[in-house]
Amino acid sequence: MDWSRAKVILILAFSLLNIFLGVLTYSNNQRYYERWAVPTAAEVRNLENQLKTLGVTMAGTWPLRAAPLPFLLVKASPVPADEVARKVFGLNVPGIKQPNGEKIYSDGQQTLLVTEAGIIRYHREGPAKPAGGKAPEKGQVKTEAETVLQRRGLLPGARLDYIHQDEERGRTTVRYSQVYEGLEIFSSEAWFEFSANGLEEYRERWLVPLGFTGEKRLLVSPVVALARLLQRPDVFPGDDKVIESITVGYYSAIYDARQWEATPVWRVRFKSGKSLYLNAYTGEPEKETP
Amino acid sequence: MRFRTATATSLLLAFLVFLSLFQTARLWYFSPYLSSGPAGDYDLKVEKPGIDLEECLRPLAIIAHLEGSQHLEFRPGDPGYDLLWQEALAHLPREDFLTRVSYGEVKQIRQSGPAVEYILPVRLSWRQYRQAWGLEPAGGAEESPAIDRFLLRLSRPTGVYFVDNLQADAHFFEKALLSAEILGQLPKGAGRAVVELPTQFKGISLADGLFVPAGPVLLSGLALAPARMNFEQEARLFFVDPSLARKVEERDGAVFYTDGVGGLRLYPQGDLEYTLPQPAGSSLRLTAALEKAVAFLKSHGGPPEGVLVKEIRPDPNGSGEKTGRTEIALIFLREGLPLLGERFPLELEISEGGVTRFTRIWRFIAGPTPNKRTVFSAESLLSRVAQEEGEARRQIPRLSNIYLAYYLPRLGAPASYLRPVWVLETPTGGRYIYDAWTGAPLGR
Repeated sequence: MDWSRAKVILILAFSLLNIFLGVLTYSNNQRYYERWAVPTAAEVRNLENQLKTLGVTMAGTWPLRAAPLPFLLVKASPVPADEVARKVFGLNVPGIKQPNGEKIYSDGQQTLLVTEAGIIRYHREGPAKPAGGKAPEKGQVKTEAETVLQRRGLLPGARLDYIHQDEERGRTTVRYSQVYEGLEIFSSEAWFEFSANGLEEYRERWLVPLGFTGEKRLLVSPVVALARLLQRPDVFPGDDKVIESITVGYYSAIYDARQWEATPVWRVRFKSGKSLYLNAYTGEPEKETP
Repeated sequence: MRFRTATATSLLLAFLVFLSLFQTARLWYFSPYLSSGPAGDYDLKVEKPGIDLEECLRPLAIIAHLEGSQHLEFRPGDPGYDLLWQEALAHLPREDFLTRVSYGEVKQIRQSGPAVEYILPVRLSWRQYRQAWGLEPAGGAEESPAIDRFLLRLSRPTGVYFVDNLQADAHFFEKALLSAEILGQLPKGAGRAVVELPTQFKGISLADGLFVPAGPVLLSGLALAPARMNFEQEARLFFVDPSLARKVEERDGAVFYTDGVGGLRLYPQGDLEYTLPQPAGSSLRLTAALEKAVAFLKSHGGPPEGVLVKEIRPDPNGSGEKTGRTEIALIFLREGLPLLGERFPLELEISEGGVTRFTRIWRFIAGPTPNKRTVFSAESLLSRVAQEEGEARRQIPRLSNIYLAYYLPRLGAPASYLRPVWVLETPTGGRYIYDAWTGAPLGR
């Protein structure tokens, strides 16, 4: 057998095979990445024009894409209901009602609800501040909110999301969200509403991140997701015409479960404070929350 | 020089071989379009991959009426059942029936024999049955009188009685059939002796043609094997891209998957609930809805052995409004008896776009429990029901059916075995369930 001749034939055969495999890999990747390609400036302009026809403008800058992300495993944060009640009501903790596993404390002036899924809701009873009253100053509200967070022990991992003054209602709202490994968990929040009389309402749901899980997947560009969403203009909140920011983070409903996976989302936040959450894998809207 | 060239070509060849292996492996394991996911220990394999509509709509029971008021019952899987069923399929007319006859004629034939009565699982039009059984092409008109039974008359004049037992209505189609010889071809000792219940029993009104076991019946329970669910594997069947489905581990051991649109809850026992919201669209033809249901079951774990359609509810919200949705409930048989509880083991809601809701109550059945016990006879049970309901001053509605079954627990509820029960059905779909060993009510 002429070994050198055989080698030449094998080299040619394997070269052809490698070229074939290389082309196959390339075309596969092209198909895969096309869905997540960075949009061109023309595509962004096109989207902005489409938004304009709906009367929607983009006040911030367009984030074009983010690094691939996996799911985030989370669980509900256990809330010691009686301890929270003592902090709210002091020594005179009122009797509780327990419908559906929830604990409701009320002394007629303040009501506190704590669920098994770790959700806290507090509101002060009584007539609302008359319209036109002055909304509390942002700096003052921030200090008061941070005091509450400090007492709750939520400050590590909490990041100020926004402060919004509603002069018409005489209220100022402030929202803190949770940050894990540099990414916001939008489902975790501590939300306050203050009037000139002090804290009127407080909502808290705070998750415990357990770590990333599953494979990292490429994220669909928010430009592509929003362009797709424009096919369903009803999804846009009627009175929200200014997009303030689009950021990537994690989102999930709150479940009364042992643990669950939160999905990466693009949060489209409007100037009014309302947000749209777009699944960053599929571009489909997840949920609209205040 | 020659040595160096030889070494270089060898190295080049080795490199090319390595490169081709690497590229193949990369394509195989990392291509987003080729990944198939891990295989696992998985129990819910497709039991009946070739199942079709005919199988889902075959008779729930066949009663051979012999001369001298003797009746033998055959259930799917019993020796003799297939012979009688294939005989019927071969001789059933392909046309609509025209001659209405008195229902009393059917009652008389039941008693005098020889005849074979086929109790169908659900009330449908004769055309719908013809299309489902492949006796005429699907897609044509579906309207014709409804039937829930038919009866082959084996004495002259031979022919087929099409019976709407619920409405006590009957039509006769005269046709040459095999004679009573077919009964002689049944395997020796095949069939269970049954007797017909009277239409009035201690104040309880019963439909005609209800047959119950003739003598004492010994029944065991069904022992359950430990569940071996592979949640990941099961979830793969329900999502186009399972990697997009996130997992919620619930406190009771159930796992919920959602991709933001569809939702799937899997219970460790094998039960599941699935929803995929879709626009209702226009109303489906009944056979089209049934075909969609069967196709869905085949591609989502496979229907269990012995599956039968039990109820079909077009536009199920009860207001008469066209919702574009059809609800289909299926049962399956084990040890010759259907499995059901307060809900049916398989329930689907179908719209034009496909299945929008699916629940499955499934248990891994190991086999009969070791000890057999005598069950209440139908007459004893009815006496007890009449007495208890009478004492409670409750009106007992007319019963359209009474049969033995195995009791399935509620969705996701634990159970160590399945007990035999008596199921009493009303014409409106109501069900009263009684423990067949003790006669105690279990649910309604």
